[in-house]
Amino acid sequence: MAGLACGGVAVGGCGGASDPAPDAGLRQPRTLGRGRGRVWVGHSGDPASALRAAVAAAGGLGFIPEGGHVVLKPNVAWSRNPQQAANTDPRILAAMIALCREAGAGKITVFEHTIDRPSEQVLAVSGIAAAARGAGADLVYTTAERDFVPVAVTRGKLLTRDTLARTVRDADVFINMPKAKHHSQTGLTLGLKNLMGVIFNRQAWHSGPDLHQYIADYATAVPIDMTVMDASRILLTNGPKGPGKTREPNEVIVSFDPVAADAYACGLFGLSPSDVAYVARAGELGLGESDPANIAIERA
Amino acid sequence: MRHYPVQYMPLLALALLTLAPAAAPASEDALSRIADLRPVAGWSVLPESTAYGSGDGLAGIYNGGYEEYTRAGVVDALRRIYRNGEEYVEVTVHAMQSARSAREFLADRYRMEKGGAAPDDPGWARFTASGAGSTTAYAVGGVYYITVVSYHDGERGEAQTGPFVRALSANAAKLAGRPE
Repeated sequence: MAGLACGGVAVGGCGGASDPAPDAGLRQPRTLGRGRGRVWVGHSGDPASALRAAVAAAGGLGFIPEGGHVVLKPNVAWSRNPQQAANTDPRILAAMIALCREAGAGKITVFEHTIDRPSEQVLAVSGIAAAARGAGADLVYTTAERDFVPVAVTRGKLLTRDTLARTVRDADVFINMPKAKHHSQTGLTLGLKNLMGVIFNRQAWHSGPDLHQYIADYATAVPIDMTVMDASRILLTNGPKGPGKTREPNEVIVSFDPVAADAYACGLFGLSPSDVAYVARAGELGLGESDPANIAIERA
Repeated sequence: MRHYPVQYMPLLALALLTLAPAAAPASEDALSRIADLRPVAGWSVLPESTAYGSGDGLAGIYNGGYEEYTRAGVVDALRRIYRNGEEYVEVTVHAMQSARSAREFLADRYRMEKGGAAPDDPGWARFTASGAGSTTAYAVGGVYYITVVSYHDGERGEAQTGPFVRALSANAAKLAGRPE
């Protein structure tokens, strides 16, 4: 990997004098202020049905501009099949692509930065390549540093700059599509942590002083228009890669509040947001609602 | 080279042993000899699937989950995918700090998978766990801890993982210069 593990406050591109200036002009989320502290939960043995129900209850995808470019970011880091529950279920991805198309999207791109290699095998075994292409989306995967751009993190406590996938930066709409699963280092992988897949150098965060704060800080800089979390089958042990024990809540969680979505999902594992520090810290940064007592759950 | 009096040699040797690292990485080459190019007939290494890491470099294999492995005593590891037509098997060979830490990690994985204590048998060195869409074979051989993952459950998964774990265990025994 060509990236550098710098530690400190500017870990992605290291913040050296020769680095390009970070992009401080990232857009605000189109859904900013909409549905703070609200989550919509679809429940069905058919995850595509659960997704459609939750999105409809949330008011649909009217925030997608006609002909706009939508980027979907599932969690497909690992060479694992859907039953192993380490990646976003391809049925949910395919259904989301269809919904975006119906809402008027002109171009839909599925972006991933896999950890296991080769990426082609990961995307094949996971079912994501077939789901994306079958539903008519472009599939962009990269491990090349040139495909990431510097960004400023102006609201962070620890992180001041990092990188962002160019594909995500250039999108009109960015929809985060994480998998809810166990993670031996952070407790859980949820939506905020899924953003580690749009930075170039994950290793620097893992070896840095405070992974939880990095995750929370970075999320304040990325325009997340919607979170669609796959909790159809969740990985309970041996995460993030598995294989491990799984359970089937048969839920898809939709929210415009990325913190509330994660806070709700903690409960599926018998945890509270305070057990998963990055969720609580993102709440402290004002990114969303992390207190379960203040989160309205609407089941669809 | 400086010459020391013969009577100081044992002390010097002891000092050097004290300074030596507790467990040096087994090296990518050694781990590659266990997970060799064709351990099972019909299967070959998928190009670009091999990842090697030691210490914090284990993140290249386990991402944020790597600390669980370093805490357990994993010094370095090599992961690769084998392919047979459209079928895949994932193999990861870990060099542990000691044979004892390898056995303890195997027992830990047994507790995780089976929910009970590992068999109290000095010769116990392998087990298989199968869940929905997945089978994992676990084995130890000396300081080496091996996992083999199939993307199938039940008999099909065990039919894929069994030959690999037997072949890799034999390779580990050969590397250690002892019978399996």
